[in-house]
Amino acid sequence: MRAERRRRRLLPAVAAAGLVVGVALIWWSVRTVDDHVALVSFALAGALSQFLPAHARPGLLLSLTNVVAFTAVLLGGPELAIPVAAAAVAAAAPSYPSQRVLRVAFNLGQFTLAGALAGFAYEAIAPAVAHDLLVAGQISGLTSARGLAALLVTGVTFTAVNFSLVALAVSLHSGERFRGVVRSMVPAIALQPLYLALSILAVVLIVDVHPAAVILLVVPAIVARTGLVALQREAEAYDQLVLALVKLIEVKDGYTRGHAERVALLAVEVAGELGYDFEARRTTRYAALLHDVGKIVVPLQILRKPAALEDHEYRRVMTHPEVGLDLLADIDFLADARPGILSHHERIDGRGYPHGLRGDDIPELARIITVVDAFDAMTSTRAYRRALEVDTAVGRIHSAAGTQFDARIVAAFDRVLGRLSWLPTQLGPDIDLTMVEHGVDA
Amino acid sequence: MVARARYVGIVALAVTGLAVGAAWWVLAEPGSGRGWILGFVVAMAVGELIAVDEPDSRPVPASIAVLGAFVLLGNDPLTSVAVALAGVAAGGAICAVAGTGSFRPGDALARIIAAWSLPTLVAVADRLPSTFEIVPAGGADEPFNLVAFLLVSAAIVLGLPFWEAVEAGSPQGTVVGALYGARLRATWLAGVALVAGAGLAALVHADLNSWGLVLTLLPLLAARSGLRRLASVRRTHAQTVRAMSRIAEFVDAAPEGHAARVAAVVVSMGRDLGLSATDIADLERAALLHEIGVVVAEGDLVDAARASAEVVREVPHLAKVATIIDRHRETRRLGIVVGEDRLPLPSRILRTACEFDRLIAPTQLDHGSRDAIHHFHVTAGHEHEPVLIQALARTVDRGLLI
Repeated sequence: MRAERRRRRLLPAVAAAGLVVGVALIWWSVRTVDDHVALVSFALAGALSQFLPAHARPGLLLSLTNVVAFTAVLLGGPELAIPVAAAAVAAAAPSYPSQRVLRVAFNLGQFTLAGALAGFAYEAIAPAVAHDLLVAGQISGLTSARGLAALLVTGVTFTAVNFSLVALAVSLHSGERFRGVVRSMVPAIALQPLYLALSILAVVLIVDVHPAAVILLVVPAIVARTGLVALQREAEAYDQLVLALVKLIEVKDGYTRGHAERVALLAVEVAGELGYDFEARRTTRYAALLHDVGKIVVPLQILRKPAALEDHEYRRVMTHPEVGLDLLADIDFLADARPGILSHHERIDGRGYPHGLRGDDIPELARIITVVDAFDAMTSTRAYRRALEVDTAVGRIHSAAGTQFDARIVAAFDRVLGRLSWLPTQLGPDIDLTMVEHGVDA
Repeated sequence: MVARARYVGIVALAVTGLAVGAAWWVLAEPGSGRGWILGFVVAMAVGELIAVDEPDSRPVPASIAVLGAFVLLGNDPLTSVAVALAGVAAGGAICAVAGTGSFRPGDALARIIAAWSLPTLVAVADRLPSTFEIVPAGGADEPFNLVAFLLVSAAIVLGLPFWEAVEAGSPQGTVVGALYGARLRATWLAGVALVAGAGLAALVHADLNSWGLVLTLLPLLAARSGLRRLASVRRTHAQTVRAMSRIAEFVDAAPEGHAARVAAVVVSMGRDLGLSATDIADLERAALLHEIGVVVAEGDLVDAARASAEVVREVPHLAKVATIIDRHRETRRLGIVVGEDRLPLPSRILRTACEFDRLIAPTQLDHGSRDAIHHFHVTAGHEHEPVLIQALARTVDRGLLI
């Protein structure tokens, strides 16, 4: 607890340091730059670039801001990169969801510092190239070995300063380990060479053709963004369609509302515990949501029967995994989810259905759903019995580990339950693994 | 699997590139300065490869941008055709080796026609007074002509979907005009990104040579990946609606293939009656989902329609579809209401199409035959408006039913 408090106190201090650094750099930059037209246009470009970003997937923001910053470094050195960074942070401020002041102060410092250090590195390594570009407007130096080396060092410096400082802040804020935070940023770091490449094109266009020609770079970016924004909208729409189908099953099945969503939520958590990546967790989510879709063909009076089922009735219910598979057969996107739907009633000891698979022959996805589905069924009130206490349900799952359930999955499930405080028939903390790929801002 | 295919593709690409490069080295005169053309061939091949891993829609290939840049640099039709041919062949060969897609002769032909005709546009623009020319400072031989750029851009953005429409429309005898509109709407954004890429590659070529091509392909890749994933979500959405449309058949509440047939009929009738494209799309979805509620409804088809509408109403963007479904059975109870209270046209179309299928399905009559229409007219004609039966009859005449 004390470490936690110390950590939390450190964050404002870091932000204050950022503010001091940022303001000092801006002051220096404004005094140093003579070309005020360039300063204003680059700052404007930096600010505008903040209105174009689109999330490619969680934590992966596609944005032209770094392209503008790199271009500013190449064309004007550190003094031109600083206003770009400052303007971008100012433009982004209204979109920060919380702790706005802290974030603006910190980002101002880290982003201007990254731009400034990258600029100094560039000028130090290839002073002649920088001079040719700036004074004589000659591009050829940029493609020389020294020019390329300077480009590389510029990119690396900017990326290293930018990402390590952000990772530090995130780690202070969330308590996650610094290395883990950096690892989660790898996809974003991998985009930096792309940004550097685009900035080379921008430099060539500005110096050799006409500044207005950068529109040719912006157009594909706008198209990409249009695609990603529409993607987000369509993905949300798709999710609503699936949830409508899920609700239809629940209405028919007489389950309390949200059974499938709770199963999906827990299954995704267990999958995360087992080290599944983003795509695999998304597959898990849809398999868990739709695991009972085949029950749609089982007659209402069987599903809602308040007494024990007759043999022929039970056989009817037992067809639902295969019916579900058949129903979803033509949906390519669900290809990987299908094994989870087909085998979610198999048992480790081979006494399950539809195929009586044993142990590891049962797809892992299905073994996850089996455990989570059983837990939620036990902790929900049904037509024929009341909900069990969580502890009782967990106890029953433990006693069936190794016969009905996979012991390894049960162990992972235990860890998940330990993390989430679980309330029967209530949704837990909302996590987002829809087909929609919302971003999480650092 | 996909990742592996892509990996194989990349390796195959590298190997082919090296082989072609070596051949060029041997064949070309040293110092002839034609090496940069090879860069375009390789970039064309890469562009073709980028385009092929979308199974059922036809994405706009990035090779068009490369070809556009080549033409904008002032190359003559013959050289352009040679580069297009070599690029398409290399791309096709890589696809074949990597097994990531199929080589389409039609696409190759389209590329060759473009390579042959686009330089003419540039030549026309060159005859105009040269007020719109930009000379990149990097020592380009040919100035960049803005008019030529606009002409080539328009030809690519407008011409590409036209070619696809002609190619796709010809075997089935479908109207090319309607297909063209649909393809244009689907591809214009990608087309705009590509022509921007073409201009970019041409402008930086003097300075960066083949590296300019590599760098130009990068933003295009970003643009395309967004558009492609969008197409994939849309496909998934359509497939899911189709899957949901079979639910009523699964519980034996509808004849086999009922929803799919009704969907085909309402689309055709909707076109016949002049509905807008969005209304037709809504009507199609309504037809596909109009009996989904049957699994929870305990009464007759009117209750099923209500239940279906309720399910569909859960999905915000399908609100209009829910309304169509909700009211398509009302006429049964109320009789045909004329005047102000008339049901919306889509609901009435759906009702007629649905009744037609329900009546014809068990009769063994061919849905696309005059006999079927006759039977429907005799049996249930009095319950349906003449204008709808006529539209249905024309649909049958066109033979668009399955």
